[in-house]
Amino acid sequence: MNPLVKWFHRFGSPPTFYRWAGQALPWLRGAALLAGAVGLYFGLIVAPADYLQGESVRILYIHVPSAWMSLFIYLFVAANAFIALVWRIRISEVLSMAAAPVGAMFTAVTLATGSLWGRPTWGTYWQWDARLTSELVLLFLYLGVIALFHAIEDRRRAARAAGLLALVGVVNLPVIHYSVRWWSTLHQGESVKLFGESSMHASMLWPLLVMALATKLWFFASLASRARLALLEADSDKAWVRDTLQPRVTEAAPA
Amino acid sequence: MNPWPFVIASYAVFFTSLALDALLPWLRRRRTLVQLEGRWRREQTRTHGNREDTR
Repeated sequence: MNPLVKWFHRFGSPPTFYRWAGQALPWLRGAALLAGAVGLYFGLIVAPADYLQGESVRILYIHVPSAWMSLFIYLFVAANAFIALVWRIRISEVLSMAAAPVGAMFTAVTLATGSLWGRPTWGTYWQWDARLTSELVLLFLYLGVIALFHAIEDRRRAARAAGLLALVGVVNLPVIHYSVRWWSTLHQGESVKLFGESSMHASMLWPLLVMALATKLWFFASLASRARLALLEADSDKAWVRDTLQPRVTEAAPA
Repeated sequence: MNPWPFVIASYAVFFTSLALDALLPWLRRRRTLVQLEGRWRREQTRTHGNREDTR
C-alpha cells in the first residue's frame, strides 16, 4: 500500500484521530486567541486610519480574513468530499461535514461585516454586485450541504450525498475570486496578492495577515472539536468510545 | 457618517459568531457524554445487579 494512503488510514482511524485531535485542540485554540489578540491590537490601535475609508477600515481586519476563510473552508470541504467519494476514507467524510458549519459561519460573518462596512463607505448595505452575489451563493451552497447532510438518516450516505453537492459548488469559487476582474463591480479589486506586490501599506498589511493566521488556527480548532463530536455520536456503540471515555466518566462520577 | 457604530457592530457580529462556534459543539458534547454515561450505568446495573436492590 502507498505509504501516504497507509498513513491516512492509520491517522484516520477514529480512536487515533479522537486522541490526536483532543491533544491538539487546546493548543490550536490558544494559538488562535493569541494571534487574534496580537492582530487586533495592531489592527485597532497601532495601524492608522485609511485616508479614504477613515476608521471604517478597521472592519476589514475581520472582514477580509473571514472572506478568505469562507473560500478556503469550502475548498477543504470539497477536497475531503472528493477523497471520501473516491477512496472511501471515513475520516474525510467526517472532516468534510464538520468543516461545513464553520465555513457557513465565516461566510455569514463576511456578508454581515461587508454590509456594515458598505454603509459608511459606499452609502448602502447591499448591492447586487458580482462579488457580493457570488459570496451569497456560497452561503446558500454551505446551507444546502448542511441541510442535505441532516436530511438523510444514514450518516455515511448523507456525507456522500452532501459531499457530491459540495463538489458541484466548487464552480462558484473561481467566480467569487475573479468576479472583480471579470465584471465591473462596486467591490474593489484585490489589495493583497499572493504573488506580486500588495497595494496595502505594511502597517495595515501585517495586522491583516496575523488575523488571517488567527482565523485559520480557529478553524482547525473548531474542526478538531466538531470532528471529535461527530465521531463520538456516530460510534457511541463502539468499543473504542467505551475504552476511551468510560474510565474517565466513572472516575468523575460521585461515589 | 460616524463609522464607529458600524465598526463596533462588525466586531460584535464576529465575536458572537466565534463564541457560538465554540459553545454549541461543547454543549452538544456534554449532552452526548451525559447520555453515554447514563447508558453505561444502566448496562452496568443490568450486568452486575443493583447493589442497593439486592441488599
